Amino acid sequence: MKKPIILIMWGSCLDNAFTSHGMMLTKAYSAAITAAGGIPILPLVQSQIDDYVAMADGLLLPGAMGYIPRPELARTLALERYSRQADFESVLYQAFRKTGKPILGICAGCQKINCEEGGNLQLDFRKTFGREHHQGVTHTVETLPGSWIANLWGSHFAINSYHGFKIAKLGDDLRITAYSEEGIPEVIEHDTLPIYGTQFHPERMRGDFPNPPEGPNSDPLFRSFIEMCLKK
Amino acid sequence: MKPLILLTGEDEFDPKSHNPFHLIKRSYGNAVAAAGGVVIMALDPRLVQEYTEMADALLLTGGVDVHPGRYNDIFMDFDPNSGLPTPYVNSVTRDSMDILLCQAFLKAGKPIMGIGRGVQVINVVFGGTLHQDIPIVLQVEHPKGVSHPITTTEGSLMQRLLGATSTVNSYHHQAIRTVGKGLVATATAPDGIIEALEHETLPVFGVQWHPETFGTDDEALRERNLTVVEPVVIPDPAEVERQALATMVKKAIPGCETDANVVLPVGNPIFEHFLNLVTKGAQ
Repeated sequence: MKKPIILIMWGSCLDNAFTSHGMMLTKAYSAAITAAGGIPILPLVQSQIDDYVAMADGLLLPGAMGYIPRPELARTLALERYSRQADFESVLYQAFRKTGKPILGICAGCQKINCEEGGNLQLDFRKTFGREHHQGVTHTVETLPGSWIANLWGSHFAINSYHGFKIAKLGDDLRITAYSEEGIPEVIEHDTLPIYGTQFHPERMRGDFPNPPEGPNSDPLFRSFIEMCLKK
Repeated sequence: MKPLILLTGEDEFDPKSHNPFHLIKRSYGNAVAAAGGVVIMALDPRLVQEYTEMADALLLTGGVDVHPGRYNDIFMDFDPNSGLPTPYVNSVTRDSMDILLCQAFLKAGKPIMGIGRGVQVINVVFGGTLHQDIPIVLQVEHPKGVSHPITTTEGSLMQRLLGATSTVNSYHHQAIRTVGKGLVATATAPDGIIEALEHETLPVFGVQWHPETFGTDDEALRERNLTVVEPVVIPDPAEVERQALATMVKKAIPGCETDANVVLPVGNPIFEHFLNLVTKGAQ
């Protein structure tokens, strides 16, 4: 059977000698795609985005990544993330969206989808909202009946949380299909296009050391995404 | 149709977040793209067959040491001169990725190019061996970023591309020891270190130096990354970052770069030859 090619967006980093700029990807994302039957590849050059979109069957926007053993370089990396990386990701998303092929966003990738569709974010909501959604802390969510996520995992289940921002204004034609118990948006789905976003990290909810241990196994979620990519 | 070039990247581990990850320098992709190839990076060694069918050629990029167990040597635990533990870094999972891909592309008859660690991987795949540390074993140094001359062999690809002599950079502490079967050393440094390998009949070659940094902004980036201690000329970066985050607009930070208008470096004969192997089948 033909395996779908899945583009995975990268995160900005510095090479291991800290002398030049690079791209990184946490292996959990590519491993989840491989296990679900896809072929993960990393795009590298912005001027070739049309070629990448033509060859790929699906797009995965991962969460924020950073490898900064040297704190004095953190700002260098932050500037990179919100300039060259943000621009690359926007161009890639918009080019891919036009083709109607499936897109899955995870954490910052989910927030990116919301922003690209006309929504925005609330920054540092922990301080005003008073609830911790950071460093992997466990929450339960409630899903909208009939949605993609409800069909996968039912009405209630436990998830991890690694985010300091949350969706504020929802993007056009998006629907929130899962809320945490305090009302924080956890899953978004597009009304007409195969575009999905999870605020939690399903790539950490599989394998021998899932977070949270009491949560559902996320392999069916990635298989569902891969099946959509095969159909398109 | 532009040829699709598969690149390999570093296999790293972040001890803070307990995450294993892949990493690649921007300059590799830019250099191959400038020569006319579409560049992607391989992400899973379990998909070697799929990647080999998909791509037209393989570029093995630089990185950490090949584990000596791959060329029937014993890992040098201690520096025989000082008696101290050696600081060598290797990645057995990256060895698997590089070597399996190299073997699969050879079997498929598709071109392979190696840079730095990559030429060492090619040598190991053909049965060659490496010096584990040239400062210890040979008392010579090819440390980070130092340029030195090379002499190329008469009639070789390297001589055709670079002339009888040329100047290259150095970023390595290991080197080719014995040359693998079917490979020929076609460039050497004044101290005898092998700088390039070419296969006698197959479209396979590699260089010990880093041609991808020629004509790129790597040098400028290094300056900016490592010497700028004071805040850059951006007004109140914290506020700018917050604004950028809130909207995630394009070109979020005034004066900051995007890749949209980057002019890729052209005219690098090494990468142009590599692409010609795919497009024209040239030797």
